[in-house]
Amino acid sequence: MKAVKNEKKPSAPSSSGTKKPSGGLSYYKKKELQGWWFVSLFVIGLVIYYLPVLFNSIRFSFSDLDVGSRALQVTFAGGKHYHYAFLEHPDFLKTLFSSMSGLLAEVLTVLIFSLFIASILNQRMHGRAFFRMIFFIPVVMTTGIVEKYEMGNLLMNQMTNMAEMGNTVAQSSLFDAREFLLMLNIQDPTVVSAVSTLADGIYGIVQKSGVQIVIFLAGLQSISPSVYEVAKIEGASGWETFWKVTFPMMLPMIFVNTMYTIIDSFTRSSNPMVELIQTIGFQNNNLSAATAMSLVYSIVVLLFLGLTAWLFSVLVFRKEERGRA
Amino acid sequence: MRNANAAVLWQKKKSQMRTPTYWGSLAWKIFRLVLLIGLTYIIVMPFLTKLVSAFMSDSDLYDGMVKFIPRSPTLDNIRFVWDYVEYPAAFMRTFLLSFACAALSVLTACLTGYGLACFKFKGRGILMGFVILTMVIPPQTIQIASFLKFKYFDIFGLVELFTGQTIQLVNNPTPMILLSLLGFAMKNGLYIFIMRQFFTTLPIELREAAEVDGAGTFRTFTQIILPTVRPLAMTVFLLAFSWQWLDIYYASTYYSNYPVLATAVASLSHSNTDVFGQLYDYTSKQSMLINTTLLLIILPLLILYLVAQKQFIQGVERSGIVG
Repeated sequence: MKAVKNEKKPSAPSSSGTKKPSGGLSYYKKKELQGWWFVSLFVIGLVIYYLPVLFNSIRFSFSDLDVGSRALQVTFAGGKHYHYAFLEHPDFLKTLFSSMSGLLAEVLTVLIFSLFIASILNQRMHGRAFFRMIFFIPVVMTTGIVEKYEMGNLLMNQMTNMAEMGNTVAQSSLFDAREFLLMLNIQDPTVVSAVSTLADGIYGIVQKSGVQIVIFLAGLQSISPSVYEVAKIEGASGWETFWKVTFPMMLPMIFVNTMYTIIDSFTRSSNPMVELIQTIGFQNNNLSAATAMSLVYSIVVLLFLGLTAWLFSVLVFRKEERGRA
Repeated sequence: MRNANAAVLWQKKKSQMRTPTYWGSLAWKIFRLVLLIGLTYIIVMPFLTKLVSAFMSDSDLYDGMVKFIPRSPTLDNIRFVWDYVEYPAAFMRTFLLSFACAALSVLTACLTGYGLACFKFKGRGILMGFVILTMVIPPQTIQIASFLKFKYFDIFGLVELFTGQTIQLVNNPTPMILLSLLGFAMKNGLYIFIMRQFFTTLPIELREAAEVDGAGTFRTFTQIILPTVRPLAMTVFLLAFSWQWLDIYYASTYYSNYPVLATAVASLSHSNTDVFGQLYDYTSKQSMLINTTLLLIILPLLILYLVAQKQFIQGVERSGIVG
């Protein structure tokens, strides 16, 4: 639909290169139309599904909803819910800021860790298929039904309580660093706490990096082996090959993973803001206010993503282009 | 003769061992193995508790000494869950839905990603913005509007105009199929984004060469571009399949009449004592059964991943790109 509309608009092609007249359309016009063909499914979805639904959601955030009766009652309420979120709710702004804490550190650690692990999993070794499967487990454990029941997993808590373990993260990992250190007869409290923090931290990072590892691995496997052969013949060391071949070719995937890590950090169910919205929406049954808060929150996340995309385009991709030229 | 050969080999090995790179790479291999085993331990431990609890009997559950090895292992839990969930039927339903959704998602992601990466047209940036937006706005935020959309499905009021009523699409998995096809199902924005990023790395010469040779745009896409994307498409397929397989949010919103494996876990967690009989403390038993069900849900995914990831490697060798 949109494709046709766009076609009718008399827009001059930006560059005046070679033009091939074919079927009444210039070469660039034809290319443009073909582009629309490829994205047509998404555009149809946007027009018949996403935009109306998004519009209605925004409308609901400016209205009072009554879901109790048989049909949904929508009454216009102005900016009441936004007023509530920003000025009346005691914790909204505070939670908004706390939801961003540690974002930069998380993005950096997750990116470096997942690229490192993916490179290792891409090397030739015994049991590679097995290890790859192991690193797929975090992807499975952090979504859908598993995530939902992983949180309050009664049985596991019971078992870990019996083993008298420390804080919650250590409980879920069952990685008992303390016991291990006791075994080695190390009792210095600073060492014990440092090691157990590290172990908990590693478990957290592994859990957050599941998808990123899988994406990086796919990216690494898309690099043709002949590129590496050339590098080897030219006498490049492993270190040089990584920085001169692997890293530049992985930049597009690094961009995806950066964006995904930011989105994941903001939208995972343990994020304080997500918890707050859940509470307001389902426990206090104030769906409109929850929608309003969620939309405000999404705009904040989009600002972060925009900033990241801009940084990437200025610092990384621009430089790449200059390097190639 | 064999001895002579062995001697030559040993000499070769010895001369290799004198070089510093040999020891370096050996150290690296050992470090790599230790690291992987350590991480495997961290990842597998929580998973192992599930595996163990599936084989525990009731007496093991209340036995404080039983941590990892059940005293009286039993298949009762698995048998109970198998019957309660009607595992084979639920498995087939989940498999069909996940397969269809994942395949459609990959198709749409490939097409949209290619269009966004390799063609210049007005509004391309805005479309990319919408792809990101679908990743950012959680499905819960637009839940009510989305549910109403499918409850009274219509395209600009055209359906109502001609038939006098809207189409009811909820209570069956149609919305999921439709959303996957259009690229708006679970995390489809991510799939499109991944594909788009991959296609931007393809050298433009690859397409130009095909076009000079007389291949049309669609032939270029199916015969030149698609083979290069195989490892990535496989990964996206596995992610989409797994996420759909484990999904409970869409299942409970749109198709509660179509019981998939995840719905079974939810129903198990809601059911009260009549399922568990006269138990003193039924919550522990319940969580044990939930763990068993989760195990029966997760294991097929891991097996699928183990089998499918062999496909990854084959993709690259077939592709036509040489750096």
